[in-house]
Amino acid sequence: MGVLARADSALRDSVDAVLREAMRDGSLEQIFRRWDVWDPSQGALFDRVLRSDRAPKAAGAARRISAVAYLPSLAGAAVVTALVSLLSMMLAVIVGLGLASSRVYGPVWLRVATTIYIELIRGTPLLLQLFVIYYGLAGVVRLPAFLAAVLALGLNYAAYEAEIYRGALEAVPRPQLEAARTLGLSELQILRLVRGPQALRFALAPMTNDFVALLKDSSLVSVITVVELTKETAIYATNVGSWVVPGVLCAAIYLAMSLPLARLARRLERRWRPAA
Amino acid sequence: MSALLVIDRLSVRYDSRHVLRALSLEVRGGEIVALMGPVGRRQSTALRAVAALQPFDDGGIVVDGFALAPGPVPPESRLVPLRRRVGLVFQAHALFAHLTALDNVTLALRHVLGQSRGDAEAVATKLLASLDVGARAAAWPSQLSGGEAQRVAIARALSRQTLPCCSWTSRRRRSTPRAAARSGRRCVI
Repeated sequence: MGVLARADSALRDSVDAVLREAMRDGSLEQIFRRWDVWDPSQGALFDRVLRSDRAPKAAGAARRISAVAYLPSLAGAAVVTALVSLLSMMLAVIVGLGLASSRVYGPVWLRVATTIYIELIRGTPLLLQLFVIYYGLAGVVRLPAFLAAVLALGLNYAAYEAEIYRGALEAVPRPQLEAARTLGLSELQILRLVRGPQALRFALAPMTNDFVALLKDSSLVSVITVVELTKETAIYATNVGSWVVPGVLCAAIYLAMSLPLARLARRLERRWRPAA
Repeated sequence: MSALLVIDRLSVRYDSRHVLRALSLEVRGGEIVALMGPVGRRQSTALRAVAALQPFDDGGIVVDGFALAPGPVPPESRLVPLRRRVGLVFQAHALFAHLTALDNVTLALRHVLGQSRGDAEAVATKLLASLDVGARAAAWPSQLSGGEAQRVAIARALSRQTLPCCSWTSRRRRSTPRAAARSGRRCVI
């Protein structure tokens, strides 16, 4: 007997499956006999469990009911995925802007520091970063899993955003900046009124790319116990014993989130492009 | 009348190569001065030095009382008086690609001089009209012809009541510098 958290229903289901298999082939009975805890009532229990196990599998109706029963939890998990993605995107944009401007405008020590950060984050797996922030920091500060997930994803993508923004800032032609200087605009005004708006257009396409990637990478946060869409789908698939329906449903939900994002980006790009 | 712009033995070196050697020049109010030569003789470099976009190694520049010394370009915060006096029209006009012709001219009026949008647009509209590009106020830089873009760039440089320095090659229409001078301001070409 074991006690498991409700969120761990996938684990519960796989433990159940292993136990049933052991009952069926008699290995569980052997183990019980070896340790002298076997009695005839166990045999009756085994029979009952195995019979009830076969019963729902025979009935297709029961499986259809379970598909409908899983829809609310899938929808809930999709909300978790959307929230994790949205919050980490916002964090990534803010931190990325900070990193990029320190790399373009900052003094040497700051440029070196941000370069080290960016290379460190880009050069190591996101999975490792998730483990470090959730389990590694647990000795210092115990972050809730959801917060740890947003932090790890956001700080990871910030490194990629920073490089996009830096490239975009540096792609603005020099004469544009010099013209702004001769007009007497301050460095900050130039960034806000001339360099920033022009760089944003260069950055939009690669940013969209990253955000769609982030949406899908958010499935990795299930390793630190956040039950999001992919994890919930896995639980669902384990329980109904098939990946076909859950897989299609899951893919459809991801697409329903990523396609509008790409559409929005294309619309912005069109609006910001001055008529040629 | 004393000289508005004095360039005194201006020298610019890239590494050990002299690109400008002891250029001297004086411009008085109301004068149109042309600094001419074949392409690549660094006329633009001299104008960039006047606008403090380009460091120089020897000599001196005085713009309407504001002196520039050899060595690295001073920080923008110390160039405020110079920025009020000198405008530069770039060879490739360098209009802000994300703003219309009108907004190119109003940018400094609004954000440097602190004028309201309405006031700035009134000034800019008048400037563009005086340069014969009033009808193109709503156009994007990419929609302007070379000559139109040049005039909008002149309007932008004039928007702060400055001494415009223009830099362009002979392909440009000859009427353009005259148009700038007609606007009643001082001009170095």
